[in-house]
Amino acid sequence: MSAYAMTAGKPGAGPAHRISRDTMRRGVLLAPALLLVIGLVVLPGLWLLALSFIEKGHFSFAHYERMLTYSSYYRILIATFRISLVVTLICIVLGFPVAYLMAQLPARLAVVLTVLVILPLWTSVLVRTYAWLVLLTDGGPINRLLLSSGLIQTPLKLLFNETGTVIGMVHVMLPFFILPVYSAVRSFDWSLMQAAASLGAPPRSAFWRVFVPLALPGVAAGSVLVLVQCLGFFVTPAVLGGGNVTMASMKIASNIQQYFDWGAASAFGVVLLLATLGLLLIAGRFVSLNRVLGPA
Amino acid sequence: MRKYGLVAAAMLLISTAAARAEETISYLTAGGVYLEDITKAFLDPIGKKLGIKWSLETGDVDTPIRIQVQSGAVTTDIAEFGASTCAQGAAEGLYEKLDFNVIDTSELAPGTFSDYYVGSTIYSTVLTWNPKTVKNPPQTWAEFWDVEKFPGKRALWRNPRSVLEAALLADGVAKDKLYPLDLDRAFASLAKIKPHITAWWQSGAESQQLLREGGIDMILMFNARAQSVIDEGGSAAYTFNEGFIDYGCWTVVKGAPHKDLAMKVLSEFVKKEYQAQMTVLSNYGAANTKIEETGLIDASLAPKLPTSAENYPKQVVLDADWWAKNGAEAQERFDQFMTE
Repeated sequence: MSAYAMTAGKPGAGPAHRISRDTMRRGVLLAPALLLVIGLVVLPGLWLLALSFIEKGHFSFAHYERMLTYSSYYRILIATFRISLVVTLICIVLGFPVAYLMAQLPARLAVVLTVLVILPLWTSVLVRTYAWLVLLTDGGPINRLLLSSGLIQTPLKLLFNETGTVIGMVHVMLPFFILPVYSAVRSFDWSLMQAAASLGAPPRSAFWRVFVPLALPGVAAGSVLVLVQCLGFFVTPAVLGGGNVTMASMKIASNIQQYFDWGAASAFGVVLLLATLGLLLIAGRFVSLNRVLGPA
Repeated sequence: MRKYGLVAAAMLLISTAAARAEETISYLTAGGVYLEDITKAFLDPIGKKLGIKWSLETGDVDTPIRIQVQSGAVTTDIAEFGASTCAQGAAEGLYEKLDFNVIDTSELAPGTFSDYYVGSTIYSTVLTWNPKTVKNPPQTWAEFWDVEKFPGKRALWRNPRSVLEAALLADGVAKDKLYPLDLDRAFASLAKIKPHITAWWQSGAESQQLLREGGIDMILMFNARAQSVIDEGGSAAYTFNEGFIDYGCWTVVKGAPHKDLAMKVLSEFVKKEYQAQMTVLSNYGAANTKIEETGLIDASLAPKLPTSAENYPKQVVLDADWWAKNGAEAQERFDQFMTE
């Protein structure tokens, strides 16, 4: 982000042999934020990387070798990304209509809806997760309702598997998707839709060819936000997965406790970080990340 | 001059008063109900007796101690963990050698102390079931593994400790021939029951939740957790038969700021008066074998205690040293097993 700000728009740069006062002032203003990011993100990240090559005080590839010896690491990584992608997709399908509705409502109603979207964020994730435990069980309200309505004959397996994990995670992540999308479409100029209609576009194609492309930066921002947070989930898969689901952070926690060696845990952390960056790079080929991460 | 003399005298007074002020012992232990009971049974009376204050930290893993010792900035004086964590930490030099001139171990059960730690509470992981849904409950691990004769939803601990032992007992290994654990055989046996395990719990609170609201019919869980479900009016029953005994232990952290005082605290911690009080409050057994002599232990309490004369012989004592040495490999294979 900082690189974006530094390179963007320097029309009034002074002569080459001295830094313009403008640039200097900008640098001074940026310094605190830059120092914070370097001190709290970059340096610890590099330290994590360094630790992953140390075992019992010596340089070693042991932590990476272990990940190749036990296929569980590979499976956990795949499961982590699979669950996170599914949650993100469901958030898009469920969240986009909500944001669309919010954008169309009069301001006062939109505020009410915004509060309703944010409200769950004020409740602890742990509490919400345990609430799902009660709702999703075989004899819980959801299965009872479906059974008594005759839609199903045997209770659906909604708990202690990936299904339950995904349901719980979608519930936690939805606000993180809806809010960026809403902020992107809130200022949408609805006269564009009328213009499309006056040029002969039926409502559906006006929606797809005018509204959706303009909402896309918000959708991309929300998706990245959801996806990256999902990759680090711990409590929800631990409880609703009933031990049958292992996500990367759970294995990292287990390694810290088992090996008493930061390296064992940081090596898997490094792999997760690289895999995440790789995924973002691939995503960046389809959606401009600058539009997602930079100023909207 | 006289003025200065007065000031000096006043300063002297202040400094001696400061020296007499209570010292603070920093103590790391498990949180929740356990901490409440520990506070009532040990910290309040001993704090008063020795004139010390407590600074409390809570947690189940020794990572904070490891960081303190490695970085040379030790702030914790006394730490309490499970037995294999104590044994492993002792092997790695995380703890001070205990001064047995100060601490009297003569009343502690054999195997619940070493040069580096002394036993606190004794607990057991036991076969538990919901008597409302299970009319013919399994009484051994072999029966728990028998899904035909004993139908019902099952749950186990997502942890190799005691689960591998249960798998070996179910496969016909004798109680006294368990160690060293045959990991291949244990995982082969565990693989047979895995398709029938609905949930694997990860915290004690979760195991209670599974039994109460999770629709689980039979489960391996801590005895005091099962008992508290019963005490709160829930539907649960358990047997100590083939339960797995484990114990908590107190250590003095290497380089502790109040090392000598910490030894003195441990010498109080192991006394039967306090340990008996802890048993009364918590339903945990005590490392001190003489707690009955205090007259605090009611006869009705005995059937609930893993350490009672009747219950103790039915169980298996987990081998802390084996787990200290092989815990990491067992855990890695267990995690592997869980993703297969």
